[in-house]
Amino acid sequence: MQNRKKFITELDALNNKVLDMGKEIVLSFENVLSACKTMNVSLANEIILHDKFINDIEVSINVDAYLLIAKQCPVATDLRRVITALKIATDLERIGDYAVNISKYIIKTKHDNSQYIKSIIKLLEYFLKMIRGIMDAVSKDNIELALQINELDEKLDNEYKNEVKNLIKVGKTKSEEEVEEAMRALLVFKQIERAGDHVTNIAENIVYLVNGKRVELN
Amino acid sequence: MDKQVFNIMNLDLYYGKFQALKNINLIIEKNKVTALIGPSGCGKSTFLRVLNRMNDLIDDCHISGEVYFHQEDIYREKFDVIDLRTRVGMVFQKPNPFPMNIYDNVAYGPRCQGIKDKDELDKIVDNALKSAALYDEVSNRLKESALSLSGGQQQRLCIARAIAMEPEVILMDEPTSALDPIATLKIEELINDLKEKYTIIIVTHSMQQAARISDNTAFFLTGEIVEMDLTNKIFTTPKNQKTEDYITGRFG
Amino acid sequence: MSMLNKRKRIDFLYQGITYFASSISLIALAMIFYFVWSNGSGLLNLDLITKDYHAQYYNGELDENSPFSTMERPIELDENVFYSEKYGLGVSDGIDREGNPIILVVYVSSDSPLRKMQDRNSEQIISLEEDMLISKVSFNDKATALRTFGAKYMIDELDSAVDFREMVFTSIGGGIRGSIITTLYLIGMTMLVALPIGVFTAIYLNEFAKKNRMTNILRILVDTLSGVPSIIYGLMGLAVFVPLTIRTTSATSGNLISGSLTLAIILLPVIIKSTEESLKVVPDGLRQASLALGANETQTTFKVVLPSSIPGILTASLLGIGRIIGESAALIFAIGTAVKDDISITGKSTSLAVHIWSMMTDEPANIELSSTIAVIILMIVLILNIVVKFISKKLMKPLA
Repeated sequence: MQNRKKFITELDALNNKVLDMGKEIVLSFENVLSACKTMNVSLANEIILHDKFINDIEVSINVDAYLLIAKQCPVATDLRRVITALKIATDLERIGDYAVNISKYIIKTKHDNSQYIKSIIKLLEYFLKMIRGIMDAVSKDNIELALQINELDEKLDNEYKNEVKNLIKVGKTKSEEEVEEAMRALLVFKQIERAGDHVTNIAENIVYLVNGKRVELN
Repeated sequence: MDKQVFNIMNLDLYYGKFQALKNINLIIEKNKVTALIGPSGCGKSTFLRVLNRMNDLIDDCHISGEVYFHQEDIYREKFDVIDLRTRVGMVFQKPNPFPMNIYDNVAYGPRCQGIKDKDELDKIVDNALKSAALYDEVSNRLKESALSLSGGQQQRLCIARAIAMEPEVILMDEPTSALDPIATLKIEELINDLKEKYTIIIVTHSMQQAARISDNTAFFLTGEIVEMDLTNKIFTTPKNQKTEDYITGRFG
Repeated sequence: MSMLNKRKRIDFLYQGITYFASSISLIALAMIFYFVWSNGSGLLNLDLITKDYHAQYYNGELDENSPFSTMERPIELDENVFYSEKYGLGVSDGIDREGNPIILVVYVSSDSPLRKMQDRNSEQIISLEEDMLISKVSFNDKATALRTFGAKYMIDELDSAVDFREMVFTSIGGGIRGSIITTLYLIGMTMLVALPIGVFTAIYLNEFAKKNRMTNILRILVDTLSGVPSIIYGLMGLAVFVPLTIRTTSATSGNLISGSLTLAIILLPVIIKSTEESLKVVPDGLRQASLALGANETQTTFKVVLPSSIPGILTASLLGIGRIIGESAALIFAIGTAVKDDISITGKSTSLAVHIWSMMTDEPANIELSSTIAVIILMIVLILNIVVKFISKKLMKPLA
């Protein structure tokens, strides 16, 4: 007879919710990517609506985790798993917010942004690779995979820094409208860079879950 | 309507002049685990024994108020207590198997009701032991003394003995307080399985146990119910400060 | 420092008192054993337990057809045994408990004509056996050889005469078979009456009786009864049970039935008390568990409580048996003191303890046989105690 069947079922359910949330985030960013490619405003609106759903998942993960802690008194790995689920959900929720911000950018863009959109798409594709990878690592509790994904963040940061350098040059020579577009693009770049940082957080949490050690990546 | 198994209204209980329960109002839902928690001497065990009239054994115990078991007042005159106890089983704090073999322990209740047919008894005993998750451990030694079992096994045997009567309700009076943690977990697991078929009311000293296994929780204090709610609510956002103090360990 | 010394001294004093007290009781017990053993062990043999108390008198004459042949003296016979080759008879001198000379038969050959004598009183065939006593041999043509003349004289006379007219011999007697059987009867009959009544009374008092004044009075009565001296029970037996049995059975005086009934009354408080004690230690949890399973009070009592208290009831019965074996005062009135060999339940007889009493009131007192019986009683009590310990240990284990 397996002991604590009920608790283990509930813990698995919590874990699955986190993975589901990850899937929804990946879906959001896939949509962001295709919306960027065509500057599709209605798709962008859909993404904003979809984020409400993602937020609901996060709330439900929080409630489940609180109840598990309050009622089942998890310890050791069980405790780390609950805490990790809570933290990853928070990170994912933030990442979801960035998808919303980028969608708003798509909606609000009025001028020509063709020279930036290409870079945005490039970074987005890069980020998608990271988020897919990290969710894979979460589902497998795989530290090595998580650390590999973490390496990618460095590259993303470098790309971001290059883009920022380019954009700073824009401010000195171009028209007011051009500068506005550049500033808005800068914000998008920043969003993607921040999203990458949250992926790093998730990687840290995977290490904590498996090893019980707190590491500072980056 | 018949989701209510017990409906207790304005129940007062006295031991002589001492009032042990004060104005208890409570509804016990079908196929739910209801936990009764509270400090020692708060009346939770006394209340449990109201439900199968075990308090009748105490000479100067008298009650007022109404206790309905499926719309039937169990404290009215000429109520058949024996019949009530076959429908409301009980498991005690200390495992108390009879000093006879395992088979006879489980068959005791049905035999007292006049069932003598060997095949029928065999079937009852097998089913009860399976339901109590004890069958695999004892099936090849049913004729051994029940007292040769470990404490946890003895307690599961007592549960099997109660199940053999096919009751609707199983009352449990601190069923794990005499057991080690692993045996405790097994009993808790069993309770979780049993609630599909039975309504379970459990008195427990362990708040964590109440939290782990119950659907509803009632908090007793000095003979009164301070708070009764979903377990999820009691253990995350209790409404009453006394409940909060008790479950957080700040009490007293 | 002095405080410490004072404490040590007090400590030493108190411990010393306990050592002293326990050694006194130990010495007293050891002395009882020593006394009865040193006095009684000499007579302790199987014959004593299987033989009759009263000596049987035989009056034998030779069968006319008995062939005579010469039987050689067996070599294992002691020097002081006088032997007749003609009769194949070996006898020796001895002294009985009263100090009178006796002639003890030591050896009778299997071919001896003395093995097949004619009983002069009943026409039956009787046989002279070893360990019998020869009182006298009368001859047709000369003076009778009495036991007072000694064994040598008797053998010489027997050898010199052609035959003899009459040989008077007796069995040795003094056996306690009758008293043992009486004691066994008493045990059986008393327990048959006392055990069911006692156990059911205890069940009533402990399980069913309401806790009110009546029950309390009943309990106090039971307690008081156990403190009443047994001689008073004996008087009651004489006043109630003896007339009752005389009226209803063929008995004419104190008898086994009246004795058993009297003993049963003596045992009742003992059995009630110890059964109640054993019922009290049955955990309440078992009663509650049974009731909670929908069993009624009778089912609970007889299916759960009583089986659990069987070790206690057993202990009570064995203690009761011990009391039966040891009781004397009450039985003197209720059954009488006549030592009997043929036991009937409506007749007079004595238990082992009364047997001692009656022998010690004889003149002179037979201390040796009394001590032997005492040894037997002590052994029975000892065995009973060991059995009690063993059974309670064995049966109590699952209850622990």
